[in-house]
Amino acid sequence: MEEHKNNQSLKRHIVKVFDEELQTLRENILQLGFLAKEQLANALSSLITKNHEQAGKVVSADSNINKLDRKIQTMALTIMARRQPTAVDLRSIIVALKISSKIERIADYAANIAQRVMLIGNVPHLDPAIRSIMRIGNMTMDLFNNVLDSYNERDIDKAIKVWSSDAEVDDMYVSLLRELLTYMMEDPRQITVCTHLLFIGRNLERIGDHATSIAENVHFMIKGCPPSGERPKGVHWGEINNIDV
Amino acid sequence: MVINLGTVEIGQTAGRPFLDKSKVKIENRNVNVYYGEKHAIKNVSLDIGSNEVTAFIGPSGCGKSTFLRCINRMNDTILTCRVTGDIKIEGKNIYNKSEDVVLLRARVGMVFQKPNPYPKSIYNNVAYGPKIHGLACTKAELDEIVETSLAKAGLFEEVKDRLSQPGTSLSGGQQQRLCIARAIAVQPEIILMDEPCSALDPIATARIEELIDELCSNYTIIIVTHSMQQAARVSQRTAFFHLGYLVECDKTDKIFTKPEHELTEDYITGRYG
Repeated sequence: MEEHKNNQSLKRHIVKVFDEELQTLRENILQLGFLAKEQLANALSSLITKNHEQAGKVVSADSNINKLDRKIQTMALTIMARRQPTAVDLRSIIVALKISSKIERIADYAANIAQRVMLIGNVPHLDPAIRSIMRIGNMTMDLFNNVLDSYNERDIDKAIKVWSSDAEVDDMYVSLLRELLTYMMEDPRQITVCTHLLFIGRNLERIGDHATSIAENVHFMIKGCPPSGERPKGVHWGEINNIDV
Repeated sequence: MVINLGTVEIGQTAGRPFLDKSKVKIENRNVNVYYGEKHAIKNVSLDIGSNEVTAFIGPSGCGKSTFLRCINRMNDTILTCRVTGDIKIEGKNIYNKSEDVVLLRARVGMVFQKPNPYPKSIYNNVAYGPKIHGLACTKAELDEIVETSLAKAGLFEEVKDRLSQPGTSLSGGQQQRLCIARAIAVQPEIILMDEPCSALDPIATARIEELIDELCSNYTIIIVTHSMQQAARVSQRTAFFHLGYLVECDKTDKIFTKPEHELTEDYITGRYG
């Protein structure tokens, strides 16, 4: 598998400032990823600790992420206009644009989770469901971490691993759906809170999808093509016809 | 033969240097060119497609212009130059002893880096070739050829009122289009262009590129260019030369987004050197 690793980043351009521009773009993507990870971690932490103040901070910090995303878009456009990149350079810049917008969406989902935390209030009887959500959260955090590592290290093996791991998140989300439906059917007064929790689970599942999509982009950046074959997919919630409650 | 350049090997040409037989205009096989002891082109084999633009790219001294000049036997004028291998236009080897080089150069026109109009009027610059090749019997026929050629080169509207003025009185871009009109006037099948825009400003360059795009439906065009953006803009296929080897040849879209050979990638991304 070692031959998959791409060492093209080690080669320098004749025009050194082009290397510096690409490096700055990459660093900004990683910074955006770091901020989004922090947002997601804080949103999940606010859910488990029921800390509304922390959730509020996540919501208000979302604008920083949007600003950095716009800065990255401007940088990428400027590099394309000035350098007319080709081949691996062109792919790196196109992928930076796409990854940036995907990370921005991940941060939006984190902010949405935090907003819902503030609406839920204290619901100790739903702690088992919240723990299920945390399991999905930890899984998506791992996927997101690993895919950012794969981008940073240009490691195609790590990208493929993320790409093929999202099915587990899908399965956990379907399992959460079953669990929350049980609570709702037991006590219809829980429907509002359970719907918020369901959306939180859905947001995490979408974050997993975005991590997978980033992995596809990392593969394209390195190899010039998407990963081969069909991506493994878990059970789709739409396939559940008879939920045994 | 495979040579090793540090970590990179050059041997068999990467990509797709060969085309379906029905699409081939020029078939080059095992072409070697020597300038005395110097081995300038090393066993190059590739097909040039009919009615499409093929770009030759590569660093200075890589052999792209040398190879281009083999296609209309311009290298014959260099005493120390020796060409081996086969270059066939529509199946006929142009290096056969029976080949009439003058007729060959009428079939395979050439446009050079620096516009080089004859020291004659605009009209006579274009009329000269058809006259010596006997393509017009009457003045009316010659007028027709001059007008058509200038129109095809996108120049007629700009010069129709001053055809008797010297060709050298035109701007650089107009002079280059005049040279293209001169090449077209003898009804060639192939046009070779050796850095045709390197002496032109961006507007004149854009006009030539637009012209190349229009001409390729009727002519097979090969362009040597140092501008990779130009190769990407105007050509359907691109061939990358290095140290006399043809390293890679493929569809232009592929060469500029996902080349196969590391040397090609290094060159087009500016990591070469």
